[in-house]
Amino acid sequence: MNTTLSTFRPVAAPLVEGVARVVAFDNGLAVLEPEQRGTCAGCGAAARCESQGIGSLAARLAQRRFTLPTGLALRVGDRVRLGVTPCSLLEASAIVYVLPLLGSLLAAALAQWRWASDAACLGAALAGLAAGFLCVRGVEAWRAGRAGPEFELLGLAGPDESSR
Amino acid sequence: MREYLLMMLGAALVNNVILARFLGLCSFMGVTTRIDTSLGMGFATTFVITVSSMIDWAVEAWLLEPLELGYLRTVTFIMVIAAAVQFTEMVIRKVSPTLFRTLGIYLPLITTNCAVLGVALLLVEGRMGFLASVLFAFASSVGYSLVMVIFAGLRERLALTQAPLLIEGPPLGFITASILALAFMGFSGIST
Repeated sequence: MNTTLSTFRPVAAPLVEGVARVVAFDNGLAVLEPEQRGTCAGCGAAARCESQGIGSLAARLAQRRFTLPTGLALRVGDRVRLGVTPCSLLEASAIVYVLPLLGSLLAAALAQWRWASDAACLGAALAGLAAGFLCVRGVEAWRAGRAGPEFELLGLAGPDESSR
Repeated sequence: MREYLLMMLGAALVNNVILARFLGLCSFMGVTTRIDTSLGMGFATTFVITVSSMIDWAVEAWLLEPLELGYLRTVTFIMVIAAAVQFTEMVIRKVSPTLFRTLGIYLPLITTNCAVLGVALLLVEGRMGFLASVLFAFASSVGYSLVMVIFAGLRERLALTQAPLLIEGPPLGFITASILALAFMGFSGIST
């Protein structure tokens, strides 16, 4: 047995996959709209609803459009599989959701300790939330110099394929 | 302080949103195929439940209760939750387009998650102050996320086993969930 540590290589975590639809092309880049994953049949039906309106799912998905260079010969309407590393996804979730929430809870607790009033507590919580979002902007600016999370085009998606 | 801690422990473990109150079962079964996506869903749901509970508390205390509009509670809370989700998405898009884009491909439907509405309605039953309400909502959603991640871990292992064809897939998931619920009943002695 002459096994060295270099024999064992860490296995890369599989990518978190999502499905997006090609909606247009812009200067050679594909404009992609992510498909909403449905957690159950009801959510799936809502995700397939095409009705547009303020706050509707179709309108929210249209806001999430992004461009990506593709090496494939794609056409408008094609569905593609995209992958992103779990680490960058969790990092993004943690920054966007946890920072503002912690700011809000901390501010609410401080206001309760200082003034013991529900109205002051609510005001402080909202102010803490706003401050948290400002922190997110700061973190985003700090991360701008680093390599950000990048999507990997994995290929065309099958007709029954959804995000996982 | 001790009261708050016991209340949070009770909300997260003893009266767990999923395993004791049976709320949010669709996302519990639908998103828990991988630990990382479950954790991402947990972060997002925790944020939405906590923020919408803040607004719901204000609407209940300063609008619905004084004007005796209790019969409009459910529809009002649904509107508040939808508005909170929409507003959050707009803010995130503004402050961090890169992160918004990254989350875009996998974000599930949180607005229709009944756990969000369920927690808001539980707050009304509890008749608590603002901070207690927010901490209760936060702890409930942390309990939700905890169970999601534990269940996702179990399902990742179950995917590698050879289960009998009769119970393969969702039936095996439900059996595992019931055993997990029994395990969580062990916390019932801690606090109520």
